[in-house]
Amino acid sequence: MTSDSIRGSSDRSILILTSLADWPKHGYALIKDIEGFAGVKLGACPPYSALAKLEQAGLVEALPPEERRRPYRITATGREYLYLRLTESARIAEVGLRRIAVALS
Amino acid sequence: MNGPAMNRRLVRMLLALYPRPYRERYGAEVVRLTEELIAAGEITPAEGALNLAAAAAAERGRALAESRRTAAAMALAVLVALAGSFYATLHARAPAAASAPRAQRPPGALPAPARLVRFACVIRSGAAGSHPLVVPPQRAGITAVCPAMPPTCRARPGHPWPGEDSDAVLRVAVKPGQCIIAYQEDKPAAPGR
Repeated sequence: MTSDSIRGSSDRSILILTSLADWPKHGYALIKDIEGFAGVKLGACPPYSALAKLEQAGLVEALPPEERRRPYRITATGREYLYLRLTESARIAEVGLRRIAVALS
Repeated sequence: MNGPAMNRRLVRMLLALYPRPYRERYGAEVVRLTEELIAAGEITPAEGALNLAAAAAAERGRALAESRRTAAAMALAVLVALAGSFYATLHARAPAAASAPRAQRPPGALPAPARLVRFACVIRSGAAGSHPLVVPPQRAGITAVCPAMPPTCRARPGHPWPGEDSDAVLRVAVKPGQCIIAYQEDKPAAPGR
């Protein structure tokens, strides 16, 4: 199993929310940012499929378009959701890393 | 035909494969982004086309799954509505049966307190937005039902209220000067009473 194969749509949503956590971004900036901090390449459409779901759930919102580029911003609900998910992931990561360390020692 | 124009045409053709709501909402942005990625050399036109086609198939699948869920939800709503109307029909028969003995009471006598499943006490304040208050059956005591009935309530037991649609109102008056009005449906109170 490759690292890319375990990245599902929910993972993509977390990547997008993480990218938007500091300030609003449009599609291209979003793709480049995710590529930079996660090393994941999204095509042109997957970000919009995920953005559509996130927008529907009220986790992100679209800002007025600028030259056919529409920036997206994380909402307060989205920030809260991201915080919970990342905290949960961090807890799991901590447990996993501790167990690996114990097994290796 | 030059390269960018061909790319744009191809992207627009592929965009036509997407469900219409997605296309209308995100189409322009997807086109713009694909053009930017191709221009930046991030993807080749062929990769872009493949990407768009694959995402279109995924969106179509998602739309189909959603429409199935919507159909299932509608079927459930119809079932609930049918069950509700069946329940209402069953309970609508109870007051009719209860009113049968009252038809035989002597002229002028007060009607017996009705055993209603639910009824509404109309607080006739005349204020905008005042609505019948639905009272649960266990609170069906006379004074409990209409604690705020104003003295202007002059309806006599068993007599129609002027202007009320008699079909929509079941009157269950118990004492002179006090009235309990049962509504078959929510009706806003007429002002000035």
